[in-house]
Amino acid sequence: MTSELAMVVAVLAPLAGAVLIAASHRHPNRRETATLATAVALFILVLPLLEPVMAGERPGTTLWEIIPGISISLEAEPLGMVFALVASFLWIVTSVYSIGYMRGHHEENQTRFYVCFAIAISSAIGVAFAANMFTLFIFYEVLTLSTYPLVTHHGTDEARRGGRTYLGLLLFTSIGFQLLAIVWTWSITGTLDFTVGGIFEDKVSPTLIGILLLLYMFGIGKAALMPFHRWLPAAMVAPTPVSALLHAVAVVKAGVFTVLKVTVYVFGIDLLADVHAKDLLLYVAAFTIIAASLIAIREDNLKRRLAYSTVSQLSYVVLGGMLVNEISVIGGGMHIAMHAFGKITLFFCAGAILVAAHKTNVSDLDGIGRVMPITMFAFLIGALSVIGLPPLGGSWSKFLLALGAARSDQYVFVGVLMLSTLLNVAYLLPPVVRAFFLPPPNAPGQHISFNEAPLACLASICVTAAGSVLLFFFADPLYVLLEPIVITTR
Amino acid sequence: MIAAHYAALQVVAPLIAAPLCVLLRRGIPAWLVTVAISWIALAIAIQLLIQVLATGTISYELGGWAAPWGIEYRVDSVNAFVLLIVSGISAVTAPYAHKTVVKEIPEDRHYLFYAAYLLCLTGLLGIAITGDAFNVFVFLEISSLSSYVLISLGSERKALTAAYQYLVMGTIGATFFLIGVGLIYAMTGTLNMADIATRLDAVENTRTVLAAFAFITVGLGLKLALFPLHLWLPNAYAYAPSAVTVLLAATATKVAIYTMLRFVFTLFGSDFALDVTFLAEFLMALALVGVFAASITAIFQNNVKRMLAYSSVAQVGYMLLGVSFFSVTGLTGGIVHLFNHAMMKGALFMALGAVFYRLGSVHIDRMRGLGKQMPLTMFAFVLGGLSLIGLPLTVGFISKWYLILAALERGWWPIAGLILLSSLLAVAYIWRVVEAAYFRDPATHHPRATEAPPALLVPTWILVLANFYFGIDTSVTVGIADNAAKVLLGSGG
Amino acid sequence: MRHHVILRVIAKLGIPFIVLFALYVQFHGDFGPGGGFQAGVIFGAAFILYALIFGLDNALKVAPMNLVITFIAVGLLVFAGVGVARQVSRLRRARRQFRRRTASRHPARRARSRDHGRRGHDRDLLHLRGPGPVAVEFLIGHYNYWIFIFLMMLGFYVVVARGNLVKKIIGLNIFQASVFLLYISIGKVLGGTAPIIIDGGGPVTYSNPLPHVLILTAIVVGVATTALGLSLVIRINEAYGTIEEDEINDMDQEP
Repeated sequence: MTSELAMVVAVLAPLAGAVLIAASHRHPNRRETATLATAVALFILVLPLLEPVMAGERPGTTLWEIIPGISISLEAEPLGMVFALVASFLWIVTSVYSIGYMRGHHEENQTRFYVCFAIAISSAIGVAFAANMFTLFIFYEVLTLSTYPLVTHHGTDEARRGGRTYLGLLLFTSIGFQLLAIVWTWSITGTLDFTVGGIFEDKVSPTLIGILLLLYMFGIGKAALMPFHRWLPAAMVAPTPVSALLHAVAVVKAGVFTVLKVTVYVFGIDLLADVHAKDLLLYVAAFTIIAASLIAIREDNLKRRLAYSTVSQLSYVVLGGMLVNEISVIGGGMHIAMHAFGKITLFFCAGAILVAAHKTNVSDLDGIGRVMPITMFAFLIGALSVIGLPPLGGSWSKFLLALGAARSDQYVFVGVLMLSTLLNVAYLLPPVVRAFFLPPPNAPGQHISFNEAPLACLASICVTAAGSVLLFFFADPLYVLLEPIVITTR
Repeated sequence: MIAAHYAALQVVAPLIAAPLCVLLRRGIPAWLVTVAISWIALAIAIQLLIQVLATGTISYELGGWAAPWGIEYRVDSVNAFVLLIVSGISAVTAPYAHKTVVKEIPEDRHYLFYAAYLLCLTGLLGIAITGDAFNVFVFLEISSLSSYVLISLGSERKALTAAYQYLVMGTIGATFFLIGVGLIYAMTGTLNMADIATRLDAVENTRTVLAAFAFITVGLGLKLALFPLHLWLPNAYAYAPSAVTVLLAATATKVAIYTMLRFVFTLFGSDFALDVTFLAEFLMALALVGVFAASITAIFQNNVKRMLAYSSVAQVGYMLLGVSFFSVTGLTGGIVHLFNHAMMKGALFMALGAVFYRLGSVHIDRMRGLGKQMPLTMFAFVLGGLSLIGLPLTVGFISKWYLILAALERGWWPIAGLILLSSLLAVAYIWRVVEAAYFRDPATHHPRATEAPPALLVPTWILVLANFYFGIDTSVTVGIADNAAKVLLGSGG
Repeated sequence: MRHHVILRVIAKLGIPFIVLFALYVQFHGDFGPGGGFQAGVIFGAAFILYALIFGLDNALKVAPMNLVITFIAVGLLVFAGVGVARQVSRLRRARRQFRRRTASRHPARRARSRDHGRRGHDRDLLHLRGPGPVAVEFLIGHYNYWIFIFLMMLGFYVVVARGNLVKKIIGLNIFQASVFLLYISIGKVLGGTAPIIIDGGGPVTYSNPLPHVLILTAIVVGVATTALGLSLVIRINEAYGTIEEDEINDMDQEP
């Protein structure tokens, strides 16, 4: 199969899977087999693309021209490869996890859940392989819409309110700002194709570039820059697999991925170097990192705490993009992968605790480490990775980001990163400490039995936790893969 | 041989079929005639469009009297497109009508309903096709009178007052239009549009022509529900029988907008409109205020049909906004939105018609829990709603794209921002319905509704799918709209 | 009114003559301008008179509703059918014959074609009929427009200010009538005669007949609007028990 065809099939495969899942809605076993099979097939489709991309090829294809000059096109390039690989691999893991979770938790409307999940993954892959801003925008919006039924899965009033915030903010930013920026870009340059070094050249004044940059960055609501971050905590009403894959990986990473894409391929980092709006955005990102961490410390609900942690971590990537130097951008790209593994582990653990022990709050976790030792150990690994301690993957990306900040003589942001690390420790380690070192609330002497989550959940947790460790040792290929995106043609 | 007479047949076929329906005296045969004629009209419209695109403007002299003395039917890409919209919507609505008519209208009036329906179709097609200014008035009144009748057939008594209100406002509008045409005639001595266009240049700076311009714009403004002349529309759409709402919402205002385009661009010329009058600024301001005011009003409506009716007023604002840019891109956006809006509002009102068919009400509280009870209908509604909001891959997006592009081309980026903001208001009202249908439990004292019959679902889904098809393959719609925009501007400059 | 012997007797005597006259007008249409339209009106008037004197029930016995509806439909079909038949038939003879007849029925279109070369007339009309810089002359010279504006405003005022639905319709009629007057006054040429072609006649000044024809159409439209409006008012009265706008609004607000 040629690379071009593989990309198209990769986008379509989850959709076909969705049809299969819908068709077998009466047979849970068959339905879940379909999910898993699709997930595996997707990964097998995406993986072979890595080789040509590493070799410097950029396989691309145009599917359909919607308006003259504006087409739905796909192209595989390093940044997209990273995102596609992470998303497709973690989908397999999440599928296994959600089978255990959804059954263990006796959720309703499971078919709708799996169908929407598959559509969401399809659009995430579409975002990853989009060859122009227009295609990216289409998949970006499909992603928003297909995750809405997942967020509101429980159908309660709380879910409805959460869904309202979710959809409202994401649509508001994407239609209100991002679409405006896209049309504006089109009307100035006459193209929306992602091009190494940017497409603006010297066509417009720095002021206009600044306005456009602000429109893009705030328009990409999925990157959760403050003040447009509220949708992410609101989305936590969703079942945990959704929070895990979509709101720690697919959706939010689609956001920061778009940020990097726009930075690198629409504006080009050389062009942005002289734009003052990026400084403003740097401070916004820094503020988001610190403020979200502070909020996370105060959140007692574990999932919401993790959500604010995600908000904070997403801004790392934005920060990396806005520092506009080679190192920081690569650091941002790597952070997409590193954080994905770390955060999904944390969410999996939160879900496992919910399924096995029916606990959602940090304050209830006292002594749970004795009941669920494996889960809590994985939680520790995930936490350490997000904090950025060796020998875990998160340390590399954080290191590169700090290095990039230093390169640009922006020492303030080195400080921000360090401070943020401390704050990470402050909100991620207490659950672990409580779990292992505090006594359980019941009367002492009572027999404590192991009560881990279903095996499917546990296995997934182990895989992602192991992934976080492995990424520390195999970070180099990632760096090599990402390097070409910042080497401009000039 | 018959191909030469397509232009006449387009209007004559439904005109003759209308009395035929009356003679048939029975609902079902009359319905069959209506369906057949609608499809024939669509076929003719497609033929005309192909002919126009291949060979340019078609001129047809009615009764063999040469223009400018006789009445001329003149088809260029602008009105060929409008003919396609009108007949296309009718071709989908006519099959849909039967079930709803049986439900909503007493049996002894069925055949009269279809007769009025066909007359309305005749009028709408006639307005679009004719090249004679006075003839426009005649067809305008044919379509208006029959639509008053159609609206008054609604099942609630409010339909009567709505029809009456529309009758008064519509007649004032048409009479204003008539005054304008009279003044033009006084100045040029001709009623043939093409002829007027050439002769108006010489007298265009007189006060009479200005007055004519004002009368025509205001008169048509009433007909096309230009904010703040839209007051007749919400009630008329809300209380009319379902099939009528679909037909009117998707076509009536469009045809009025077409007439305005024709008069402003072809007859007066865009230079006149731009240099001598403040039409551009005026339209833009009213369109924007209308978009926001109507969208916000829509959010607070509990009758969903009324909600969408206000939304229609807002959408008319978009079309006029496109016109007010006086540029090829803007006009393309406006004209393509004529088509696109017909698709989305047609789909939405059809879905609502199906809801009304089952529930006998379209109050938002009655629609609670419908997502489970009528999944296909409500999903069609959601998809139509997404198109209305303007998400990519739907037709709504294409219209927005061109409108924003047109605003940016002029450098008016705040207006581009306003267009986008206003489309978010559509999210607000569409989502009120979605939340009611999917997140609320139905009130227990109402019987459970079941899915709508296929006779209603199939036409609804045809339009829903059209929303996506024409959102992805825009070569037809945008191509023609672009051509039409150039025709309009070319003849004006 | 059936209690009035005089009315009854006179109506009984008169109605046959009215019908006869209508037929006469109809068939005279073959020789001179006008015909069908007026004949129809006169014919209808006979039935209306009958209904007024002897009551609607009796009138419906003479002309049952079904029959009326059928006649309307057939009439329209014949009307449209003539047009189509002409288009379909490609025989030159039929064409020539038809053209002669239509020409005689609609001298207006024809006259308009002759008038075409001299449209300066029409245009002059709107400007002053002579160079009159004085305001008084402006006022007097345009008296037809002042009447038009007055009537228009009057009608408009009635439509807006009156709450009675029937009065609104009356206002609408005045409003429309003002426009009819505008059209007709535009067409008038001072000293012009009726536009009838006299064989061998030299150039004569005649009033522009086209506005008359147009307004004839507009009047028909106006009558249709009025009829429809009034029937709506009847239905509203049946449904609400009132024809006052504010009372209806109150009733609509309640539920």
